[in-house]
Amino acid sequence: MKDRYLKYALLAPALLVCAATLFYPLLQSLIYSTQDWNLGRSPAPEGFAGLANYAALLADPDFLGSAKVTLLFTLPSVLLTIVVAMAMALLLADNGRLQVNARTLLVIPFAMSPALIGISWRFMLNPEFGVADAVARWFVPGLDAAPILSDPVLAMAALIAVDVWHWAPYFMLTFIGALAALPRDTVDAAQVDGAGKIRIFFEIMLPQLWPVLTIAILLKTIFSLKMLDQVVTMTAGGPGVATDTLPHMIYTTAFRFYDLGYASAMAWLLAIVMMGLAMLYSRFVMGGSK
Amino acid sequence: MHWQFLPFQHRPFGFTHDKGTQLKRRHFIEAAGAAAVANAAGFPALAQSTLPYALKANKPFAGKTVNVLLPPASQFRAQEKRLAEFEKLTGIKVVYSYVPYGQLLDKITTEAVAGNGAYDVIAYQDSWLAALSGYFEPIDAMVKADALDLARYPQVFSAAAIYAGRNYGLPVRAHPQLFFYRKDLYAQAGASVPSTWQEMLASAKLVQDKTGVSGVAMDYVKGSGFQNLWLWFNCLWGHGSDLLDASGKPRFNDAGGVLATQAYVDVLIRHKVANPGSTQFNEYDMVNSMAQGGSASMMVWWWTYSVLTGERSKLKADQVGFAPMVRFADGKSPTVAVIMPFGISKQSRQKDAAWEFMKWVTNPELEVAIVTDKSDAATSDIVATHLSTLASAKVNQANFGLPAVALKSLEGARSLPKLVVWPQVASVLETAISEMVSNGKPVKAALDDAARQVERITQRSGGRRG
Repeated sequence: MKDRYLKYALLAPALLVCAATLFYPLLQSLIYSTQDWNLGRSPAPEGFAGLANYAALLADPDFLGSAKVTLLFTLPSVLLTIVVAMAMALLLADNGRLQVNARTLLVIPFAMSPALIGISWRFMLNPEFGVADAVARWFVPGLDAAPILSDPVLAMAALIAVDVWHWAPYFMLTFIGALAALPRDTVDAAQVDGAGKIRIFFEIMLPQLWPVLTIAILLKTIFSLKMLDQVVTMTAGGPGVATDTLPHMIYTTAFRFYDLGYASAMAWLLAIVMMGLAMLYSRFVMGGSK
Repeated sequence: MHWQFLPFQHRPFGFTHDKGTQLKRRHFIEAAGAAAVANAAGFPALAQSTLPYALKANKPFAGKTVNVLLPPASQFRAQEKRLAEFEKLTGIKVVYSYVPYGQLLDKITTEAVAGNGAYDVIAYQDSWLAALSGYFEPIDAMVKADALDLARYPQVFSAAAIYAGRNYGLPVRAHPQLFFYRKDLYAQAGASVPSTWQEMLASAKLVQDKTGVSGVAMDYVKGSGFQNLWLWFNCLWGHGSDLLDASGKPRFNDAGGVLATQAYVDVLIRHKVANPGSTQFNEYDMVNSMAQGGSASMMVWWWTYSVLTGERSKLKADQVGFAPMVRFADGKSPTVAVIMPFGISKQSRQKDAAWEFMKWVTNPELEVAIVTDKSDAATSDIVATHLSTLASAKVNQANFGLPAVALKSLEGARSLPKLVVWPQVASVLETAISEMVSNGKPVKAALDDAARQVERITQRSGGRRG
């Protein structure tokens, strides 16, 4: 087989898998987003609705509120995850026994299923029997039970904290790899010149880590934008709509309200944002590899 | 309401019944055995007339497999344990597939979209029916052909599977509400067992003040299958209000609705007799709170008795008291009942075999056998749906008198509204209640906002085209 055909033949299986699992569902959901389809009314799409679903979305206060909640979740969760992961990476970058063991233990949260994490934390934050309350009462005896997940601010804070707890180990490993790849002589030179650790980090290491940080921020933004499991299992979007993120709203609109056309339109608006981020990510990765 | 029991009409050989209602299990096995012998000996006519539960003789569907989708429950495990009996009678194999209750609606929806008929019989909750009726087979003709008497159920149970004049299932699991309380704490505080909401508040306060244990556990959290709406409906109906008016417009924010909702949230906010964790409790947390000694009472479905007295509970059976559900309006307001019928999937490719299974699984003898068998904790259950079972002395003796009290709770009971847009409407309402108890939103403002949302939902329920 000639080389120019062989490359297509070798790519064909991967393309077929992508077509079946990615392109077809994407295309199908795009079609659904232009249809009127509520399962409660009909088992099949009821007719072409044009851009009516999209127009309704942009005037839907629930959707706009949910978009705001998603931003309120995404921004702190990305920032905190990166900061905590970097701090852990700096602490655990050396290859001493303590650091290696700590790294191994810290990876456990990342290895857990997100749904299981949500359920576990929901139990841990139970105001009557949860470990969080028990610990708080150990420090402050007689403290009243604090229903954290039913307070709008604390529920969002808990959701962000759990997300950071889940993702920080993954990015810690990424940053440890990046730190190991830094040229040692620049740091040594700064130390000889009398620079302190904080100054060395911000002025010598951070600029060199910036490409990795950018990719980490992009990736974490995508992960945060599509985070669903913990919302479903910990707060169900509540109290009220305080933690009703877009993925949760899409999920409930499709699977609780059966409004598949409307949910598909929502999913596409979110997908467009994520595709933009994914393109930026690709540009950074490919640009770096040139 | 049909409170009189009409016996099931298909009794083999006219055996005598225990208390006029129940066919003894030994007799049933004899009948099945005789039918099998008659069949084998070449007496099809005799076999035809003797199979119990109106099952078709000569095993016309032998070799088929009926797949059943349902949530985990000891009642269903107990049925599963007895499937061999059905398979022997009909030659139909039955496979139970369990999906957690919280995911059941999602699973049914996914199956409906997939349209591959993977499940023949599906358990669903009555309030889902309006939205899902297109995916269930109406069984009116089958019920009529086999002369199944629906008056064997409390009316609120049999009506649960009827939507737009058509019957989409038979009740298999159903729950009346009961008032559960700690006998020891009530005795210690000198509190009396309440029969009205107002008495409940007074007793809860007395017990809380005297014992230091929270007076009552509530479940105000959103996102657990609309559980924070059940007691709200007691309050709503108890104050003469309702969800919608005759024209389909929201009515829950009228004067009665505001008073009802205020009464509901004031258990926590004003009277402060609810467990402080109630804002974050779902039904399981609420039940666990009482089971672990954190609350002195609760108003919930009767099935939770087995949790309160189970192995993981800190309570002993003699500490757990139960009474008919408390009511408003001098004890005459409706209670709420939630019903889980079995329906036949419209996408099933073997509806006849599925109907055979439905006839068997809903027979009162099987129900009695399950609720009186306490030999295995994993399959021991108190849930029954037939009037005869609920009234049976034998069943009550085996179940601490719970069925008789449940029967009292069911007097005047109503089921949840059947609306195509129920999931959206319920979601709006559960969010509104969550906002009242967690965010401190005023009741009237929260209900008015919810009413506007419900109006929007009902307006766009016809679709967005044009």
